[in-house]
Amino acid sequence: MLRLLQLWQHQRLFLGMTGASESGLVGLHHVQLAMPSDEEEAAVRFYGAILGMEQIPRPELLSPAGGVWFRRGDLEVHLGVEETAFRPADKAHPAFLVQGLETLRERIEAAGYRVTDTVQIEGFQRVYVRDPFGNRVELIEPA
Amino acid sequence: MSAERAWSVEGFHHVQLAMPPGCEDDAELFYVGVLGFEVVRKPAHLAARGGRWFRSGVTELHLGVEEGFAPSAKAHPAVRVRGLRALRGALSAADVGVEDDTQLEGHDRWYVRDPFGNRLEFIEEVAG
Repeated sequence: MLRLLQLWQHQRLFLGMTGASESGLVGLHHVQLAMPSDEEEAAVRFYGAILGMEQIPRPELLSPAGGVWFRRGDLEVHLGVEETAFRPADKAHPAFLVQGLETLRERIEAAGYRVTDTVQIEGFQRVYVRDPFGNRVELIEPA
Repeated sequence: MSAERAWSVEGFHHVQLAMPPGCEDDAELFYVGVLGFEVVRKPAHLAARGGRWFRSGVTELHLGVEEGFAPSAKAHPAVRVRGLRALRGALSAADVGVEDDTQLEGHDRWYVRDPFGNRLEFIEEVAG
């Protein structure tokens, strides 16, 4: 319990240093998912052509292993190459907020990907899809 | 892309990370105690699976339970921060190791690992 109190003090230090409105967590900047090497084209087909995201330049000074970055609106997804033993996460995933989920679902299925239904959450419709590398992606739309 | 397109991908709703079973208290200690997230009540029909949902402003992180969990070496969410230096101080004070990396132009950023080894990036835009 003492440890917990200590941690809370440190947290207040962060949140309270300059007032809560000026210091704190603001939002998600991007999510990085992993992919095997030499699969950039598959990433561009899925995140670019199918999901409609724009490919953005990736600073070359970053890992020479490769990868592809995408953005659409407030959403930025980085695919980074994991050279040794890439293994997609079984459950961990980003959830993308979408408009027109049913239409998007048909588009993804027409491209040969399997879209999976899941337990619904009140106020939302949501489905899962695996990207070409097996990364799990949730697509969710306010009902 | 045509203007009349009937669908679009707009932003993040949440990011789900994984953790081993029975670690909900450790998750709260880190995400609430250190980082200042609030616990979001999981819908009753999902609560039986365990795990914890956290929110800070518009940022929602879900920690889900995974048997045989192994954290990803590189994949991670990046959280935008105001007051990155203050956050670094708070994390150091809580004995959370910070890992520096190549900087991105116009940004300060570094990484930490949560109690389960999940990699988190914290990033703040800097002037000039």
